[in-house]
Amino acid sequence: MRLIAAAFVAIFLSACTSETKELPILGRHDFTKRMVDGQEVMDTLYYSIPDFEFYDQDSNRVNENLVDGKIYVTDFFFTSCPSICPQMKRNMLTVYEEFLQEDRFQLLSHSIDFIKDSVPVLKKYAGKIGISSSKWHLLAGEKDEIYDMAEAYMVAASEDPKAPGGFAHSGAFILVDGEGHIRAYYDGTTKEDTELLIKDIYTLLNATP
Amino acid sequence: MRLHRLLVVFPIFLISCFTVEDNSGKSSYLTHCASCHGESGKGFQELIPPLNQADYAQENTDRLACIIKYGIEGEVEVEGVVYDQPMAGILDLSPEEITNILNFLVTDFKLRDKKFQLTEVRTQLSRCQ
Repeated sequence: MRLIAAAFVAIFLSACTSETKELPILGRHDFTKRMVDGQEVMDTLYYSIPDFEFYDQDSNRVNENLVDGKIYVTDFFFTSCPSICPQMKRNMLTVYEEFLQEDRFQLLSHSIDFIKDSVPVLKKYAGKIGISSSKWHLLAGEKDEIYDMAEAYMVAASEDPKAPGGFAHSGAFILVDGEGHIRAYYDGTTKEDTELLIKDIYTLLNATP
Repeated sequence: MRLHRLLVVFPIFLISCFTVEDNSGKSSYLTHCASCHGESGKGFQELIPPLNQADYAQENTDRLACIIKYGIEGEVEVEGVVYDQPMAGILDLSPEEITNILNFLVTDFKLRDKKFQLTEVRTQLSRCQ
């Protein structure tokens, strides 16, 4: 009996310590040398998301300025996707509702169906889910821009006639900080990872003034 | 004390006997249907209609096997809300798997009172439009 109690305490403790885990800056970083007082010093140039420009469901221009200094979560989907997307959007909606009142937070969902998902199609989809473009932007763009963006976020997205709906894409949610650094990836199809994401967003929000 | 234990264990055995078939329907549902319709069949906002105690499903039990296999397009009104997200069919499903999914909908989502028989599902599938 005592052993069980001890095990429980241990589990509780380990759960507590994992909460304070730091979120590293991900990606391939560069290093530069510079001279300070005659000494050579190495600086790290952290990988960051390049500038971009897309249009959201309300024809708002969405670019790097919109998310400057803000924490955001991004993913890739398409409106006619019959496989993992509804589950991803269901989980994203949980994140949306959690941070609806948080001005330092944004959501960006890139449609990879550059043929069908025009601004009006995205607007209708947003209306059906019941989301506002002041917080959650569904983004339309040109083929190359979208796929370059997926590459910049280091996730898979491609046209694939064999995939359900004609496109294949990662089910990842990507957490990006106010300086455009990727901080973590989550499986957007599971509730467990979505809960972890929410916790990590709070961690980043609490770390930034 | 012993009798007590037996009383607990015995019903568990009984339950496990009756749910072998249901579990396979449930696991097929979770694999093929739950991403859109949700684990508890509540649908998703106004994008994906509910299945759990939903009028459209209850009124169209004679077409559901065809819808599962071949999908459905166009507007569908469910519980007063119009949905028009196209549903992809799952051509790989066998009549047995479809029967099990439908029976999961019967037991868990109150689709109808009576369970589906394989013969009924086969007949439905032979008449899909």
